[in-house]
Amino acid sequence: MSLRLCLLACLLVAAQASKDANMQLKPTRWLTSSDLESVPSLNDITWERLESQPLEQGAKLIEKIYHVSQIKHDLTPSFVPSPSNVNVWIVKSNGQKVEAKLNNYVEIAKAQPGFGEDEVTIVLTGLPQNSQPAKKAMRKLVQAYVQRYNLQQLQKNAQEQQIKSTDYDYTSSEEQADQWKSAKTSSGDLIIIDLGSTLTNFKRYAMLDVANTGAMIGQTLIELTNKGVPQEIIHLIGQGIAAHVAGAAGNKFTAETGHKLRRITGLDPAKLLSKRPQTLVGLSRGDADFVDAIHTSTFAMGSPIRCGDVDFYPNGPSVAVPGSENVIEAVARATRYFAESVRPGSERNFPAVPANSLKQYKEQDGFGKRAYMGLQTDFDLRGDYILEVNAQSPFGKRSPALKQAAYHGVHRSQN
Amino acid sequence: MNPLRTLCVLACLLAATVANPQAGSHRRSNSLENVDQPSNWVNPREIEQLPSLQQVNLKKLQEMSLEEGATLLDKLYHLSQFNHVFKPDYTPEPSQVKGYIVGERGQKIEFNLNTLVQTVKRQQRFGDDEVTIFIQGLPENDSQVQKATRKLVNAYQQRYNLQPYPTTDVDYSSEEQRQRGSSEEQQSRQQRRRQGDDKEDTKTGDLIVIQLGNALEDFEQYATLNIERIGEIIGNRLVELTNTVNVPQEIIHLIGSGPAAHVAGVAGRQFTRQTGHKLRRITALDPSKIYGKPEDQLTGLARGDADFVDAIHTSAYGMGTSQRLANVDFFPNGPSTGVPGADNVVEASMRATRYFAESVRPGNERNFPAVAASSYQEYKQNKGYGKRAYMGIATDYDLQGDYMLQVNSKSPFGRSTPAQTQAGYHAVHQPWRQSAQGAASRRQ
Repeated sequence: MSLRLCLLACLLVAAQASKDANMQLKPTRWLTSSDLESVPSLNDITWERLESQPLEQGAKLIEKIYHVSQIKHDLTPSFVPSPSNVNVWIVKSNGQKVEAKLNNYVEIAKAQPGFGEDEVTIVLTGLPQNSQPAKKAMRKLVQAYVQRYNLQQLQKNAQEQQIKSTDYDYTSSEEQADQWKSAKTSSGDLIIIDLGSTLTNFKRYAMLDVANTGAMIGQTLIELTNKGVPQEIIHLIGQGIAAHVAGAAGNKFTAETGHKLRRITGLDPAKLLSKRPQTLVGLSRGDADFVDAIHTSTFAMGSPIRCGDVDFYPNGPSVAVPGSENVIEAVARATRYFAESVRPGSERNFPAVPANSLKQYKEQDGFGKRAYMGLQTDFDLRGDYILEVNAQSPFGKRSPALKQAAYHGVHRSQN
Repeated sequence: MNPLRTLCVLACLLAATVANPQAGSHRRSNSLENVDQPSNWVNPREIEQLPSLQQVNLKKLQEMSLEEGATLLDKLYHLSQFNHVFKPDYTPEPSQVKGYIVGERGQKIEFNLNTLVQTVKRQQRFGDDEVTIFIQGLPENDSQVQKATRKLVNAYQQRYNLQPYPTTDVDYSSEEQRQRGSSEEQQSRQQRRRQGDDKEDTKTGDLIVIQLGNALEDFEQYATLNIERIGEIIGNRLVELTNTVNVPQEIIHLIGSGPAAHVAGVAGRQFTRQTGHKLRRITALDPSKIYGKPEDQLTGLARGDADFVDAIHTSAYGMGTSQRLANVDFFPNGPSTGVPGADNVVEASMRATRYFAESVRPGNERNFPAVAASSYQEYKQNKGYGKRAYMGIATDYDLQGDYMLQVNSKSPFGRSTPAQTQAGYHAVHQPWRQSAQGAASRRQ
C-alpha cells in the first residue's frame, strides 16, 4: 500500500518536473502551498535567530516573507515608538556621552556649549543595539566621528607632543599611520537616536510605521532649527529600516519649513514589508538636498531599490557583502564602511565606478568616472555605483594612487 | 535509511501538499491573528483562479475593468518575483524592430533598427535643433496605443512647425494651411527660420518613432524582454547617429513608454559607456514593472541615465510601477491603479503619453501644475510642500523628488493653474479651493 502511494507520488513529482518548461505560464506553479507553508510566523522570527542562522538561510527567509507581503500588498504599518522610550545620546567632541530621550534631546543638546556651530550629524539606528554586529558597528561610527570632530584639537596636540595610539580605543586596523595629522576636518556634534532598540522583535520591525515615526523625528529637527541650528549643517544618517525613517523625517521637515536638510545617508536601506495604500514611502532623492545610499545586503534585509541621488552597491547587487556571517551583520557592514570613510585620511578608501553589476565593474565595462563612497561623496553624483570591498577591516580597497603617496619605494600597481 | 525510500517519502509529502491545497485555514485578511502568519497572507485559491499567461493579452486586459485588470497584473507580478520565474531571454531581432522618421510634410520615412542611421543620413537638415526619439512599448495594433502615439506625433509636428503667439511680423502666405483644431496654427519651418524667430517655448526639431512594442506580441515576450540587450543595441545606434550624422547628444531627448522606458534608460547608459557623455534627457511615460530581471544586476531606468530623467506614472498599481526611477517622478491622481477616465489598465498606461502629448502642444506647457507630496491625499489637503512644478515637456531640470497633481478624465487633461484662469477674468478672483471650503462651511 505504501509502495503504491510512493510510486504514485514519484509519478506526480516526475510529471511536475516535466511541467517546469511551462512553469512560466501557469501562476499556480509560481507559488505553491508548500512554499507558503514554509514561511514562518512573524512571532517565530527573533533577532537571535537571524543572527545565528547562516547568511544564505537568513536571506532566503527574509526574501520569502518580503515577496509574500508584496503579493498581499495591504499589510498596514502599525508601530510607532513612544518618544519617551527612544534613547538618545549626544556625543561631545571629547567622546563623552550625554543621555537624553527623543522627547527632550533638543533642549539638552542646545544646552551643550558650542553645539550646532559647525556640523551636526544625527544617526538613527535601525538594528537593536543588543545585537553584536550592530553594537560594534555603532561603536566604530561613534569613534570615527569623535576622532574627526576632535581632530582639530588632536592635530594641535600632535604638533606639540607625541600621541600614543593606546590613548584611544582602536581595536582594529582602521586608524591610519600619519595621514590624519594633515587631514582636513571640521568640528561638529554627533547625536545618536536609538530607534533600533525599540524594535524589540521582528514583528515590530515589519510593522514599523516609517512615515509617522519619521514625522515625529522630523518635528524634533524643526525644533532644533528653531533653536538656531541651521538646516544646511544637518546630516541625517539612517541605518537599515531607519534609512526610510530618515527620509520621512526629511520630508516632514521640508513640508513644514519649506527648506530641505543638507544630506541624508541611508546605510543599507531595508526592504519595506508594510505600507500605507496609495502612498509613497521610503527614502528617495529629494528628501534632502543630497541623498546617498550604501547597499550591503541587497537580497537579504536590504533592498535593490534605488533610494538616493546616488546608490552604492559594494560587491554589486548580491545577497550580502563579503565577510558577512549573517543577515544582521550584512546590514551593519554599511555602517562599518561609512565609519571607515569618516576617519580622517580614509575619505578615499572606497573608490567606485558607475556600473550595474560586479561583473561589469570587474570587466571594466562601467559607464562613467570614478567616485568615492562615504562621507565625502560628491554631491553632484547621480546614478548607481559599484565597487569591491574587503571581507575584513580595513574594508576599502584604496586606489593605487593613495598607496603611492605613502611609500617611497617603486610603486607596484595592486593589479 | 534506504535512499530510494527517503526519496519516495519526500515525494509523497511533496505530492500530498501540492495535490491538496490547504483547506479550512483561511482567516479573514484583516484579523490581527492573520498578520502574524505570512502563510495566511495569500490564499492559494486566489492563485489557482489566476489565468495562465497564454490567456493574458492586451485585448483581454481591455475587456476587464480597471480594478480587475490592475489586481490581476499586480498579483501576477509579485507572484512571479517569489521564485524568479521570468528570465530576460527575449531579444527582438533588430531588423524586426521598425520605426519611422516624421518628415516635414508629416510623412513617415520608415526604417528598422539596422537601417536607422543610413535613413536618417538621407534626411536634410536633420538634427539642427532638437531630436526627439520616442520608443513605443506596446503593440500598435491596439487602438488605445495607436491613438496615444498619434496624439504625441501630432503634438510634436505642431511644436516643431509653428509659432505659439502670432505677431504682426508673421506673413502667412496663401499656401499655408490655417487649421484651427484646438487653437493650432501652422507655419513652415523655413519661414520661421528666415524670420529668425526663436520663442523660448518652442523649437524646431525632428521626431523619430521606434515601434518596439510591435515586437512584443504576447505577455510572455513582454515579461521576458531582454531590456539590457535591446537597450544596448539602441544605445549603439544613438552613438552612430551622433557620430555619422553629427547630431550632438545634448539635443537628444529619449522618450520611452511602458517597458520601453527601461530600454531607454539602458540605451542612455550604453551611450555614456561608449562616448563618455550623457544624453540630455530621458522621459518615461508610465514605466512598466520589470518581470524578468537579470541576476545580480541592476536593471531598468534610473536617475543618472541622462542629465535629466523624468517619469510620469499613470498606472502605478497596474501595468506601471510605484517605484521612483527618475530625478523627478510625477503621479497624476497619486499612486493608484489608474487615472480618472481610464476604463482599463491599457488606457491608464497610455494616459501618460496623452498627458505628455498635451504638454508638447505650444501654449500648453503649463497645463499640468504639480506639487511635491507623498500621496494624493496630502496634495488635496494642501499638505504638499515646496514649489509648484510643471509636468510634461517644460519640466524644470532642477527638480528632484515626487510630485502629485490632479488631472481631468477627458481631454484637455491638464488642470491649468488658478493663475491662468485669473488672467482670463477681470472680476475679483476667488481661488477655487477656498470657495469650495466656503461653500462647505455655509452648508454647515
